[in-house]
Amino acid sequence: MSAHSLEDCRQRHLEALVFLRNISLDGSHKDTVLGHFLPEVESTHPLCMPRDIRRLGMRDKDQTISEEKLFGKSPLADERGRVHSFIEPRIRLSSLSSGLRSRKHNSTKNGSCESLSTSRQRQYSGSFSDCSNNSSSLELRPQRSHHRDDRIYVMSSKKAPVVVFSALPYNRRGQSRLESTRKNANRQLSTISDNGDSGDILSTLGLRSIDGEQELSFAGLLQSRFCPVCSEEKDTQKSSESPDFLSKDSVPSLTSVFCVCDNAYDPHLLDSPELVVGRHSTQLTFQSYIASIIYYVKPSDLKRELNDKFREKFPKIKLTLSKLRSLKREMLKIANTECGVDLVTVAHSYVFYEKLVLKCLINKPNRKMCAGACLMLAAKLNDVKGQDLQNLIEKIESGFRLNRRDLVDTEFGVLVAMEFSLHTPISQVYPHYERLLYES
Amino acid sequence: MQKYERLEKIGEGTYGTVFKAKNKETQEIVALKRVRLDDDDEGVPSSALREVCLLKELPHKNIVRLHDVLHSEKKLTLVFEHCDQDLKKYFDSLNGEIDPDVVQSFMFQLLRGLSFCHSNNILHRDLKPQNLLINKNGELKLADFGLARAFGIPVRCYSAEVVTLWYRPPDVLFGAKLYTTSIDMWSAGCIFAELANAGRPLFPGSDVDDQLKRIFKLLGTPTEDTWPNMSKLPEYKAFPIYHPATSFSQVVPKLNPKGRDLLQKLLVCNPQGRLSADEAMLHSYFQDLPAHIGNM
Repeated sequence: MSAHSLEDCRQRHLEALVFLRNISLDGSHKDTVLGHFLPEVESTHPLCMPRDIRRLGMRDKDQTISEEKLFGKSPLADERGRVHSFIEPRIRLSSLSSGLRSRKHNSTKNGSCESLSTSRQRQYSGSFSDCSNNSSSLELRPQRSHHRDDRIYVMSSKKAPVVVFSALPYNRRGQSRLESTRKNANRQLSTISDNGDSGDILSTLGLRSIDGEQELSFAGLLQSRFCPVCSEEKDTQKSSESPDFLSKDSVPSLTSVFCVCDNAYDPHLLDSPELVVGRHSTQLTFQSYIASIIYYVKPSDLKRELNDKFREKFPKIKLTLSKLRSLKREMLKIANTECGVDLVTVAHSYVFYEKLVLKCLINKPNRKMCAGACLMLAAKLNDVKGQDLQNLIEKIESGFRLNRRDLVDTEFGVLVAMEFSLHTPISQVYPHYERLLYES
Repeated sequence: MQKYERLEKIGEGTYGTVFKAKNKETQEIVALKRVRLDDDDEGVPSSALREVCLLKELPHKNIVRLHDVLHSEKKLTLVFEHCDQDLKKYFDSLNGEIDPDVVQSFMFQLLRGLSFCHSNNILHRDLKPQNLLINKNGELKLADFGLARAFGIPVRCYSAEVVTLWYRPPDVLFGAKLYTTSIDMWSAGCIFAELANAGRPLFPGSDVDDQLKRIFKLLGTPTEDTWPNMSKLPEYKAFPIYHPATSFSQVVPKLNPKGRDLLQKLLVCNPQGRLSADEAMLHSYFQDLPAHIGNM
């Protein structure tokens, strides 16, 4: 190879690498300004990848894919514009939690500069031999913690990237896409009532006494949980609270949700793992594994699409899916991050909240108040007491911008709306807990 | 309070006052528990919340029934079925003599109520004679679920400040934050011995250390062999090695050998070694249980 083509080659390495590093995990691409780096090419060897990106070098002579085949004769080097088409459709990480994502953002942003500057200081031969010593031809580490936020690069022997891909665990929730809605969550004052809905859940239930002194009896709610609509279902479910009940793809209709049968609650029904990527994915089923290709889609489009789907499925619910998810995130933040309340308690509060949503009792004025009340109830039932409980209530007040009187009032309202049935089967709580564990 | 006519004060519960009252319509005698609600406070007290939510799920002949919840701006009133007395008062009326059949019947009913709680994933966490109610016709009912909680997903965040000292198991005395139905089984064992002795408490300790000392003196100090990972408990401290000096026949002289065997299988320091409520009900001590109690 002549000196000229070697340099040509290196420049192409650099272009490709810089391009790849600039794809952030939400799929957006900040256009690469190569001019900035080009004068450095002489002293820079693009071997140094951001720390958390693993290299898959194909070192074996026989396996070596000729760089010329891959790049040299491709139009890639000639037209920078074609770089885009080479990579697209991009493989998008669909299901990273917001925390992971922002971290990754940083690392990709800094990554290119950082690695270039360090490699600049390195000896050319040093960094090269560094990698040639690594004789493994393909290296895939299956640790979950690694490949859940990493992109894997497959490169030719001369370090030209050939394939970039990410492995995603199947069950991840795609909340990252809805992250932008989170900022809006805090802006809403909970007592704004611009439609006819009342925020007072007891009034909604028709249970507000006219004068405060009057005592209301709730004996009816303490009677047996027998429900004529679903008594048969309940009997069978009661006797076998097995995973079988969970996997059962019964989608209770809203009418059955409306009756007392809490046992029909499906933790995956509302905040469905299906409603993460919308229709922008293709599933390929192979003999021993399933692969999904998730296409890039504008976050706002995806959000709209998922919310539309959700509304279609639950026309009576006055809450969008993105709002539900952002409220749940806020509940997690207040209880777990700020007050150190354990995740089982948060999972309990999710169950309570979703049951209220399914009963169509959540509206714009009361959605935060009820979220706060659900957290309070879950905490009290899970041994959060004394100073910890006081602290939690204060954080709920400030986090959701409520005053204590309203919160305490709503707490009892929620209790009544739940018909005092806060003792929840494990099968209803566990899926939420599992997701929370996985996301934390 | 229109629906109920208040008759007399029965006592003070963990929260609020308990009154005997009469339902004006049905003439039924009930017990009212009054809970004050303060707006600037924590809302519904967690003990009341637990009672309402858990008792709703526990309709059973050996568990006190919650009939009604009355709510007004300032207070919450829980309406329970009324029982004549609690086991503590019953003991006081005994003058140190108890019929062995009564011991057997009460113990069986206690276990049956407990078994129902446990099968519904609920721990009582405050079993003691004061919280067991007795009817004139010999029925026993578990009451006061103010400390009860659901169990299931094993996380180390349960409160260790549970169960009245005398009935608290050694693992919880050592600060265990993860426990299961065995916590109630220890209390049941203590109550069993107290029943058999017509009301003399088995381990009337004055503080946590004294409590543990009394337990270990009777049962022998557990070791890592008999109780693996004991020393890893949050508030573990080493105790002198006691060897059991008194036999169970001296501790519960009036209890028959089968009963003593059952008691020994309940009072096991290692929580994993304790009998469950269901297992205890199948113990040979209950073999000659009169059918009317078994079906009661």
